[in-house]
Order: sequence, then structure tokens, then C-alpha cells
Amino acid sequence: MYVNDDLIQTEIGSLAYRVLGEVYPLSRYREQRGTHSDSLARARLAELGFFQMGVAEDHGGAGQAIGDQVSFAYAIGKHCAPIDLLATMLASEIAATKGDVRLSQTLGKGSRVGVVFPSANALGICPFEPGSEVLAFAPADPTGFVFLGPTEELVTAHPGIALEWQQSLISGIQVAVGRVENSRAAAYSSGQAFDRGVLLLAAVLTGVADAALEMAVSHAGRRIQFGAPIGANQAIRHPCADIATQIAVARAQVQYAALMMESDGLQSSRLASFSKVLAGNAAKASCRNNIQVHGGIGMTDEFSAHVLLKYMHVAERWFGAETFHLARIENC
Amino acid sequence: MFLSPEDIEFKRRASEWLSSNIPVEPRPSEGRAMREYDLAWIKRQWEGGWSGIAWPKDVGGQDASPLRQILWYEACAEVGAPPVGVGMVGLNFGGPVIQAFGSQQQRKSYLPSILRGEKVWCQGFSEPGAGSDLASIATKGVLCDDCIEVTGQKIWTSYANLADLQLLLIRTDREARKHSGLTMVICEMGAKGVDIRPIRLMSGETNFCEVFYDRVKIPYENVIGEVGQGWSIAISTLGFERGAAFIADQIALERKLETLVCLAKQSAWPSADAAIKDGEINRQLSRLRARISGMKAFIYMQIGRRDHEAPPGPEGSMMKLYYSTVTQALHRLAFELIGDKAIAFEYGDTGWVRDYFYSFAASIGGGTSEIQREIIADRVLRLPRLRGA
Repeated sequence: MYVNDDLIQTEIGSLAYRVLGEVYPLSRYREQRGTHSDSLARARLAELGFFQMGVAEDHGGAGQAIGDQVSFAYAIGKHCAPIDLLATMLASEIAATKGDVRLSQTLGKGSRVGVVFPSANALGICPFEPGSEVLAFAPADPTGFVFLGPTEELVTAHPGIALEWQQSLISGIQVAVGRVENSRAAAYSSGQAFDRGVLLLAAVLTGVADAALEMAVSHAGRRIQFGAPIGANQAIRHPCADIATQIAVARAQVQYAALMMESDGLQSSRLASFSKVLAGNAAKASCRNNIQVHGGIGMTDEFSAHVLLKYMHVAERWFGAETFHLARIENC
Repeated sequence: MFLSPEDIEFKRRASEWLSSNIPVEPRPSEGRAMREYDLAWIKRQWEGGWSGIAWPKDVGGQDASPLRQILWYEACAEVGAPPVGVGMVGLNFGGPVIQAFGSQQQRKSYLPSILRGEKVWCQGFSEPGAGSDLASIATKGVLCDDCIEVTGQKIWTSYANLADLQLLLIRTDREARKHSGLTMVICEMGAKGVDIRPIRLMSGETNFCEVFYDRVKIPYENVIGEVGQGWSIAISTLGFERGAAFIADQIALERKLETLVCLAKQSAWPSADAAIKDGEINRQLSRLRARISGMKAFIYMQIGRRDHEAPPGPEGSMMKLYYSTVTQALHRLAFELIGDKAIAFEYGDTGWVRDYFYSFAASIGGGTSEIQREIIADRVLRLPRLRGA
């Protein structure tokens, strides 16, 4: 919480941080299947209006700025809460923008929504043309899908793609690779939501990076070896300091991109890609460091360091991993 | 854009003024010629009404927001204005420290002349036996009736050979504990007993010096703050140095990256007709672009929060640490892109190879990266320390 304090100090941010911590405690990853109720958690978030944050007020939403969505996304990452909560939020917003207020409101009640987006290999071609490769993530029993690409977006009940689902690294999220079979005539062409999705995932990654750093620092302060806490050694202190710096820079980039998107929207794609690259690198470094600092404990299934690492890897693949975004940042 | 219309207008006026006022002749890389060039440029900014943007009005500043100062640096970087050069210490940390701790008399005597480009300052902190462990300095100041008599040695003093004045940290009480007993004074570089010896750097220039003091008399009116208060003033000075002094360089790095992209377009590369067509080179450039953008975002976010007068906190250490890794990565890549020709380098050459050698300074000067990490571990992460450390 050292680096991103201000993200949870806003009204929305602190509410999101507190409620997500209550309804999605990290301990749920260790519980027996079925003990934790995802539906109840979603109902609570829906009641507070989180899924309709970005929907304009005249469409029944809260009309909140991107900055508030970023705080929500950060809190999701910090608690390793389901990433697809953001898919629901984006789908509700897209439906409203396209005039389907009823669908937007239904989604706003917290429906489980999967996402489909172009795979890194499909960069540069129209993302949802027949034959293009897509990557999909979905919670269990999704009621619909949101297609997000750099130029197109669509909310639909069925993916319309043959997807073979597999359990992902994180319980409750399935992953699939597929190819678009027929042209998706109904796709909306604007693609604006994609950059927002990228930015929100960057915020999720700064959240999980922070959670991992906090876990590492707290352990390093308590674990005694050679008669002193291991955190007194520079071999532990310095990597942690480097990671704190990386997180601080990624966080600033995310906030800056959000401010810019809210105002003129120029350079949105670039700023979103910068955010994803920096947050992804910070999160990878932080989650890996956390395991190293914990030593043997960090390797076990019963301790949650591995949950953070795996969650980070899943989040890092959403809306394009590092190679996708590095290629998208043009240098010529 | 989150800038107000007034800020946008300020930047537009700044760019307009700069485009018709930046010196056209190339900047000499050392010696008196460089001093005259840099001071003339500072003076021209003063005459144009662009000096001391975030400095208080009573010393000739404009009392504008730190954001305006950043916008000025941006405008300077965009037109390729000369660096602050010999004005570095005076404008970026000496001045701010005198603003924070100096007496009314000191403010009046020293600050306006910095803005007008009349005086060059340097900073005497490090000693052969006190680098990262700054508090162990041994240069002694004997408290006499009418003055402090200073004897000892400083090292790594940039521009000492060209400076008029120096912020000098001395030990005035040898009995007191390590961090107590230090005093910050202003030393006239022309005073009797001051001997300056330049040291050549691996990048070729000789603006880096050793300074020897043999019973140099410093009047009590030159003490900044109180006798014995030197450590906290030194820490503030370093705070300014880490937090604010390099902002212009950090902003300028964005433009430097564009030059690097041009270099990558022109450089021959195995298995590609130009280096930029190589996937790995292209990814490295993209990564640098992202990191430079993040650095700029970090500066903006800090500036929004920072109190005018207060020295920057540990965020300054984060910024300096990050900047040093980015600038070094950028210069390493440039060196690789230049290829075989990079080996043909002579002292006095300017350009990428010289800049590559100089980029090693980024993680050493103003407190090494190791020291910055210690500060972050202590003050941001609150990790434990080893007993006795």
C-alpha cells in the first residue's frame, strides 16, 4: 500500500478496496470449491453501482470518470479479485453507448461476461475478420461476451466462435484460443473501449504488484536468520526498492494516461500500451521477488505467493501481453 | 490535456521566445569558454523574463507553479536549448537551499546574481574518505573569534575550476556525534588557501575537481543556518539534487530518444537493412519509450503534490534511480547501434560515444543508486536495518 496509497484514498477507491476485500478475500483460493459465493459478491458490487460506473447518467449509470474505474481496477488487482468484473463493467458501458439501455442495465446487475480479443499474432490485421486468431477469457457459465479489439467492439450473448475452454492458472477463469469463423457484421467500429480495457488491466497489474511487494516486505521484516530480520540485508532491500520504484512509475503512467484519456483522448492507444508494458514488468518483477523472499514457503501451494504470481500471469495476457504492446508502440 | 488554458498559453509563449533566442553557436565543452557561454544563456533568459520561474518574487523569481518550471524545461527540450551547464548547482540546489535556510542577507546577496547569470556555484560535499558515507567528512572548520578557518580536502566537485562560490560542508565539532558537529558554509573560491586541481573524466572533460583548503578564512556571516546544523541542510540539498535538479535532463531524454530512433534508422544491421527493422532493437526502443513516458508521468504526478519550498522526499530517490537506469540503457543501445565506429573516440569528441561514457555518472553522482535504494528501503518500505548501520 506504500506506493499506491492515493488510489484507494479517493471515495470510490477506498469503497472498492474495502468491499472487494470483504467479498473476495484472498483466502477463497484455499477454500473448498463452492464455499465462496461469487453471485453474492457480484450482487453486493452491483448494488453499489460498480458495474455501471462508466455508463452515462441519462442511461442509468454513475457517469464516473476513467480515474474512478482505474481505482476500482487497482483494488481488484490488490485483492486478486476476478478480473472479469471489468469485462462486465465494460460490456455494460458499451451496450449503453450503442443505445441498448436494457442490456446495459441487465449487465449492470453483475452478469458474468467473458472477453474475446485479438491474440498477439493477429496484431495489425482487422481483429475480428474470419480466420483471425483470438484469445478468450471467461468466468464459469458466462451469460455473454464482450469483443474488444483496437478497432472494433461488440457485446453479444454467444461468442460465435468455436472455443475450447480450458481451466486457466486462476480458479474460476477459463481460457481459450480460437479463430473467428464468420465475419462479425454486428461489430461496432470504434474500438475506444479497448484502450480503456488495456489501461484498466494495467491498473489491475499495479494492484497485484503492490500486493506482492507488501507481502514480501512484511515477511522480510519478520523472518529472522543469522540473528536479524532478513529484510535488513541489502540483497533483500535493494530488489524491493527497485520494484517499489517500478511500481511507482507504472502507477504514475496509469494515472497520467487516465487523465489524458478523460480530457482530449489523443494518443490513447500509445499511453495505454505504455501503461500495460510498465505495469506488466513491475508486476512480474514483484510477484517473482515475493516468491524468492519467502524461500521454501513461497514455493508451496498452501501459501498464497503463487496465487499472486499466477493471477499476475493471467492478467498480463488480458488485452495483449508485453510483445503485443511493444509492437503496437510504433517507432517509425 | 490537464493543463489550464493559462498554462498552455505560458508554454506557447515560452516556445515562441525560445525559438528566436536560443544560442545558435555550438556550446564549448569545457573551460572559461563554456562558463561564458552558459552564463550568457542564463543572462539572456533573465533579460527575457524567464528566470527563476518557481523562485520567490523578492529574490527576482516569478513565484509561479513548479508545473510552469516543468513546462519551461519541456519547451527548452523541444527546441534543443543548451543545458543548464555551469548554472546547475546555483539554479537547481544551491539556490533552493539558500531560499530554505539562508538569512535575509544571504538571500539578497546571493540569489539574484544566480538568476542573472553572474555567479557560478559548486558544491563541496564528498571527500576521499567520505563518499556514500557523507557524514564522515573530516574537512575541519576551526571556530575562531572572527571567522571559521577551514582545512581539508573535497573531491568530485563539478565546475570547481569555473566557480565563484561553493556550498561547503565542514566539521566544526570533532567531539560531537557523527551527524552533529557539521556546518554548511559559503566559500569564496578565490579565497586565499583554496587550491583547485581538475580531474579528467573518462568522457574527456576536466570540469570535475579536487579542492584543497589550507586555513581558508570564512566569515561567520557565510554560515547557512546555524553552526552544527550542517547535516540537515546537506540532506535537504541532496533532496533538491535528487528530486529537482535533473528534471530538465529527464525531460530532455524524450528528445534524445527521438535522436536514437533516427540513429537506428540509419545504422546498418546484420540480417536487416537498418537496425530499426530488427525486432529486438525495435522492442528495446518501444520499452525505452514506455519507460520515458512513465518517468515523465511520475514527474507530473509529483509536481502536482509538491510543496514549493519543501525539499522533495524519497520520491526524489525513486526518480533518480529510475532515470539512471533508463538513461544508461538508452546510451548502451546507442553505443551498440553505432557499432565499429564507436571505437574511434578521442577526448574532446562530442556525441553518443562521449555521452555513453558520461552516462555512468547517472548512477554515481548525487548519491549512488545503492544509496537511493537504501533510502527507499528505509523511508518508503520501512524495512529493518542491520544493528549499528
